[in-house]
Amino acid sequence: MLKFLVPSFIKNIDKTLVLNYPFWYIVKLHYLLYFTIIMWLISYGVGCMLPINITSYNPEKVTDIWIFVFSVLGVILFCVWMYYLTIYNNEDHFGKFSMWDDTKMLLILVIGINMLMSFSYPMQLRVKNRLANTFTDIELAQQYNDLNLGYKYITSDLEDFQYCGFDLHDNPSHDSIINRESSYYGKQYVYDLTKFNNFTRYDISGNNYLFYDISLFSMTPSLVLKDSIFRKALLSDEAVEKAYSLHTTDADKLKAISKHLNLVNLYNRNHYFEYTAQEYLDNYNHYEKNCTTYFPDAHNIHPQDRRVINYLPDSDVSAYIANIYKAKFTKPHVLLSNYLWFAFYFSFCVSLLIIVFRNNKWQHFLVSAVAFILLGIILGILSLAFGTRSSESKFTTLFLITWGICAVLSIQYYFKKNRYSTVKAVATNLFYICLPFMALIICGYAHDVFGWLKMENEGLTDAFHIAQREIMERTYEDALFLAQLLGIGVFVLVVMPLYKLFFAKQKALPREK
Amino acid sequence: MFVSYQEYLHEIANSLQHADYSLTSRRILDFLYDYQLDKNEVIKALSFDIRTRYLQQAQQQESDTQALQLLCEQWLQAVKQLAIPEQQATATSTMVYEAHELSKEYKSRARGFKLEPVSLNIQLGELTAVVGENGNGKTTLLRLMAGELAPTGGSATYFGNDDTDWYTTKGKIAYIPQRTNRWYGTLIDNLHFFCTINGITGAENEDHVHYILFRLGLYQFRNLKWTEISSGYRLRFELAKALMMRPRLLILDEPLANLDINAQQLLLQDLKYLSQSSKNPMGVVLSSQQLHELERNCKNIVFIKQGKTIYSGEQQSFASDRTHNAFEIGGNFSISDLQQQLSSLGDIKIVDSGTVLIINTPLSVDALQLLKVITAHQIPINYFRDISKSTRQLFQKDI
Repeated sequence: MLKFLVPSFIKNIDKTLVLNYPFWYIVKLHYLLYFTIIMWLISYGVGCMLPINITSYNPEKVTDIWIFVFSVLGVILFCVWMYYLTIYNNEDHFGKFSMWDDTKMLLILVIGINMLMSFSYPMQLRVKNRLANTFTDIELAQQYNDLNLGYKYITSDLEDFQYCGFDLHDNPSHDSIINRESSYYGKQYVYDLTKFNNFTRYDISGNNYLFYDISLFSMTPSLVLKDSIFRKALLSDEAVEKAYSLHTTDADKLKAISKHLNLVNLYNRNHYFEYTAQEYLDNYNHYEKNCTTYFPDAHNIHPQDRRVINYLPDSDVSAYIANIYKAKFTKPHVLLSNYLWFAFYFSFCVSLLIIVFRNNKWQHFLVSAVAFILLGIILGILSLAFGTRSSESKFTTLFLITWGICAVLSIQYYFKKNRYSTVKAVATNLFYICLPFMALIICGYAHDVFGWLKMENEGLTDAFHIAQREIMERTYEDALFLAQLLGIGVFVLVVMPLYKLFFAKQKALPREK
Repeated sequence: MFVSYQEYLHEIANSLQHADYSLTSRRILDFLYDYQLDKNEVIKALSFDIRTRYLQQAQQQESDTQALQLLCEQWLQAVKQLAIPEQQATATSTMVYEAHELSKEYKSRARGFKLEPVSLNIQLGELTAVVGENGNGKTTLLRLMAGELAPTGGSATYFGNDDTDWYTTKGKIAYIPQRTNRWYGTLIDNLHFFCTINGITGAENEDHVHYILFRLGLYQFRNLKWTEISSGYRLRFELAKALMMRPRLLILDEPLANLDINAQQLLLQDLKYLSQSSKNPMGVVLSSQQLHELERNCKNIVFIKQGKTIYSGEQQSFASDRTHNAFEIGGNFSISDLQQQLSSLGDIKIVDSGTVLIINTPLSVDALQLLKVITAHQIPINYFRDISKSTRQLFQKDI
């Protein structure tokens, strides 16, 4: 189908493999590598050409369509790959095979599926790279500094931007004031600019501006080391406060405001400023002069005191600059542990299904799939019917019993087989496909039902028991992790080779009709 | 059973003398393969050249065969100069398959079909035909032999080994069903793949594939796919694939069904020769309705009627204890006229089988005598066949 896209050296490899290495001929890894490299190059090229700049408010809007295109291409290539994987099968023709073939196949499938999933990565990384290179680390740190050092003077609505008051009759915490917690609305406030020594500043960890959160460059533990150029150039909270204290004259303040506005102008090129830097300064001075006393009705501040309204698109600038920061210093999502776990489990499960498919006649694979779904439904209904306390644990109990029956049938079939049995073949498939996850399921079951490594939270007051509970929780988490590794490891290295022999021999068994 | 070196050369020289280049070129390749002369580049090149030229000429329907004749003579000369040691059959036992009271009952079938116990032996280098009417159990028997079906009763031994590891056993059995499964990819890729998974790799793989492609006249179709070939060629493709695994038992279900008369004869001849290969001999079992073609080529016959094995044994021995002779005759005459004209032969019985008449005569009347009477009475016949020793007699007109 894709013959015209295949160069002669790949065809030569194909010829060598078909003559000498049937397993590698079947898996077509050379084709996969070839097409993946091509797609990576195309993807990188697209990443270079996509129209992005510092005001790419959300680069995902630009890359989304391409991610979709590369995903579709990945799915198409996956289908073609599966076609070739299924049309050639040693065991269908009783040819030579190795007990390690399925293990090797699983490994290749997992790698292959991840390669197909990775078509858009070079584009995403290139976009991230381009965005990151917009400014140097020092320039970016300086921009944060400029924003912070002018921010205090860019005042507008007291409630929105200079809310630094608190209820005199209450005793709000410092954090509550900073975070403007809603519970203080409707009470009486004091707006005292002299106490304006803490505010929501532009922060590199700015959780308010997570525009990359969806998938592209999720926030990750910062890659900014303490002794990095960026970190050194970025003013700390204390340094900002100190810098403010050095703004003793209007000229200093005006300079800080101008820098802030210039930066806004840099990111929001088409922004129309209603006020000049001087007007912002006048406004600030007015507040500083007039808003130092108790306002009985502060919530409905006097219109005269509302000097500036809708002054600038603060959050847009924050978003832009945060995007650049994240592009520079955050891990790409493909390296995040969450994503890696997802990618592994997804590719592992798909690979396992493909291997089961290859080891069965398609009709019996289909019967197994239907049986799996039907059993799930039936067990669900039964657990609801019998479960009075916890349907979930009843379901797990029923599931474990069913799996145990399948295991017995399968092992019995394994050791005593002289003719094909559809029931036992399906039972074997169910047993086999659940096996890698059973250690994990059994751990969870023992924890939930038998209280293994579990201590109830209720009634724990003393530090010893609380600490003990925490230790148990952590041990349980470790046990779960170990169960995952052991379950999958034992399955891949022990069960798969043994069952490879079984599946191959099963194909040769005489049938009833 | 296996063809010796001298017999091969004699056979090739004989077919060359009769200008049968089809047979000559095929037997030359068989000889090359059996005596492993593919290391001799001159002989190898000459052998493939002969076959290629023959195939080209056959395709273009050229009648100028002088060059081909010359090449074949060159080949014979070259081979005669070689000191070729006599090839011994590689198989240690000639027994391929032995069934004892093998039976099969389909419980789920509405009509409850049952194949009654059948016993038979298949030897290397022999062709065995399974014949019988439609729906009488031929395919069931073949599937039992191929290990596709589990028997209800009886036992079977493959290759003289009582302990059947089905995977290993089936690796030596090639079963070609009547409706072949669709396969994917090109023929040559499939053949190489089949060879490799059967342990034939590298240059040997290429040589073996080339040999089969040329031998079966498929070289020009090597890059075609299943959907691009006719049903007649699909069988040849299947046969080529089966031969890649160097089977010791080849089972074909109705292989002649979609073939024209020439292709039928060619296939049967090929099966006979391939089964007698000294390098890779095999037992061949096939079912068909083409009785006469089968009886001419097969050593053994198994006749099944309504699930019962009526006869299982050598074709030559069939009807050795018969009580009468039987002849098929066709022509422009009526039964009563014929009856009257043949009355001098004694107690004869004539039955209309539909397209021809079957004359049953006493044992004392043989074909020659009958023909003499027919000639004497100038009976206008256009078809005559002696079926006294043919399983044709076992087919009765039911409807």
